[in-house]
Amino acid sequence: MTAPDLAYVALVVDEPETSAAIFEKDFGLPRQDFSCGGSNVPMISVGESALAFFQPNDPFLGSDAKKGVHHIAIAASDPEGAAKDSGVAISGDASKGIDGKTQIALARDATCGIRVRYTEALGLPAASSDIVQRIDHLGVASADNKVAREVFIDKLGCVYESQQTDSEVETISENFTSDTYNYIFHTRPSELIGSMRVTFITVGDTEFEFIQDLTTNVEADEARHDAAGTTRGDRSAIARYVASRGAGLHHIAFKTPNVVESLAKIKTAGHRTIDTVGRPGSRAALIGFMHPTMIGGVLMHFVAREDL
Amino acid sequence: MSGYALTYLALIARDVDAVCRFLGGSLGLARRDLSLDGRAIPFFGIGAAALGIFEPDDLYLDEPRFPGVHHMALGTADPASTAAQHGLTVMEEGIGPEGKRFVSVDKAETCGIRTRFIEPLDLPVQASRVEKIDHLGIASTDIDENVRVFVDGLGCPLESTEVDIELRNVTESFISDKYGAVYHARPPEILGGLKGGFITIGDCDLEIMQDYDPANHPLDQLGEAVGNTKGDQSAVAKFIERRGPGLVHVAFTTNDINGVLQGLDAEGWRMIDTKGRPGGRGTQIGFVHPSNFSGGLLTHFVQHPET
Repeated sequence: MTAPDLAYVALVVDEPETSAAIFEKDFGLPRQDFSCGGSNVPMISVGESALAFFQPNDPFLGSDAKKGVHHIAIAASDPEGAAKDSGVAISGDASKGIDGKTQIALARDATCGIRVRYTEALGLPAASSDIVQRIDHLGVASADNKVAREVFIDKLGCVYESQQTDSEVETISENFTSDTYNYIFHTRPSELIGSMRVTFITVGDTEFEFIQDLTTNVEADEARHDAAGTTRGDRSAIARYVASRGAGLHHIAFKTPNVVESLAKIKTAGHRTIDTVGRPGSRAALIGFMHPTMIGGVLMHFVAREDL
Repeated sequence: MSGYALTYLALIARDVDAVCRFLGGSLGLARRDLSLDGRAIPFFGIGAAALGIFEPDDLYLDEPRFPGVHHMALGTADPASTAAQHGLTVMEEGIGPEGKRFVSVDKAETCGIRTRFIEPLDLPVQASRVEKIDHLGIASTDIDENVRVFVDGLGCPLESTEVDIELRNVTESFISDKYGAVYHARPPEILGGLKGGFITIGDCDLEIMQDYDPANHPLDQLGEAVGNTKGDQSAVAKFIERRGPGLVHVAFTTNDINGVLQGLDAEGWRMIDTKGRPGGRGTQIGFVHPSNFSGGLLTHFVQHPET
């Protein structure tokens, strides 16, 4: 079994034309358009993979498509055969997809909430720019990373990359400073206020980032896009996402040479960003978020890190 | 002599009998009922001072009469001339317990602390679980003003000042099986704080407490488990919001904080603490639940570090 190649990542946005133009113009990545059913689908090459932009009501997506990262497609010369070989339940029959290529979908509830399709390769050229080198990872709100490993490694043939545990611990100290008596300070027992397990599994030239909230004794915080994130905030975001939309694809991250410079370029191009400086992310990286309104409802961030 | 000494502290109790059982029966203070305008008011000698326990409708006390600590009476041979000497406005002049002459002064001139001057009482004391009144807790909006009134004006000694701060420290750790460990700590965040000052009145002190930073919002929920600086800050802020600055609680000195707390607990008194916890001035403190007295009256014990 060879490790699967990622043909494309499907993004559902308000306006595919506008979003594709931003990637072409502001990110400097090449665009190519394909027909899919009756619609035109703009595609952007990123690294060895690509992004495909759809409207929420595109019949190709099936029912109930929400804005965000919709599905991924694995390249296979025989999509139907590859799907059957995986041993994972198939959803519906093979059909014609982007550029008339044969494609077939796996059952979402058998793949940790991630919509996975197999498609014939699209033959797009590899591409990168001074802002985006490739897709760094696809963030997944995960209910159980152990199951994710069983499905994506054992069945679909993806390769394990790394796993980490992120924790945020709060310690309260009290300090009594007198002008007459000795300085007294005491510290209460530390409390875990947020914890996540993050498992990276390689698909094509990128990874799935399965994020599982491990915090069971603390309620998730309200959403906020006004402040730099924390483990506590991130685990709350994942917990809320799993509760409201179920497990599945959550965000997309792009590898960039320099987070601060790339965020600044995006701002100069007239877009909103959540961060203006990098903050610590997984895999010893610096990360910085763009605002989800930039690409009509898709959460995106930059990642700068050394490859090991 | 410098300053004035506390003669008695007037407490208002919804359940006077319970307070008397607590002070007399459980703490072991000597009780003597003093006559006041034909009524008998229970008083308890403690150290060089006394505690007087009043019903909420007792007309000896000016309004408003909330359960809790009502006023403090400082001893002087000639109450009226003492008030005049310090330029304090007399609101009432009359005869108090045991026929002693008193004046009450305008609390607006004493930082909200209802203060009277009275001829000294001579009450018996006996060996008990507590040595004396340790301090009277005061909610203040401006410690400097308390110092001007009681230290500069009345000549009471400033014993010490302190600042209590509660900090939150957050550490994040990312531990990877491939990329190693990354730790980072965020800057400490002040959760709450109090400025404190102790002013001596005889054998006890006024413990002045001021919110360190009024922009730091008080907690909504109080009385949850063990207290802390943020909880104390919140209690002071809420007291001032409801009643204005002034007398909040009374604390007793003991040399066996855990013994007293556990003994009272075993005798069936509801305790907030059954074990001492850090208080100001390097002390250990432990609170009695106000529900024992049908609410409103807050008391705690204090053990000082061995010197």
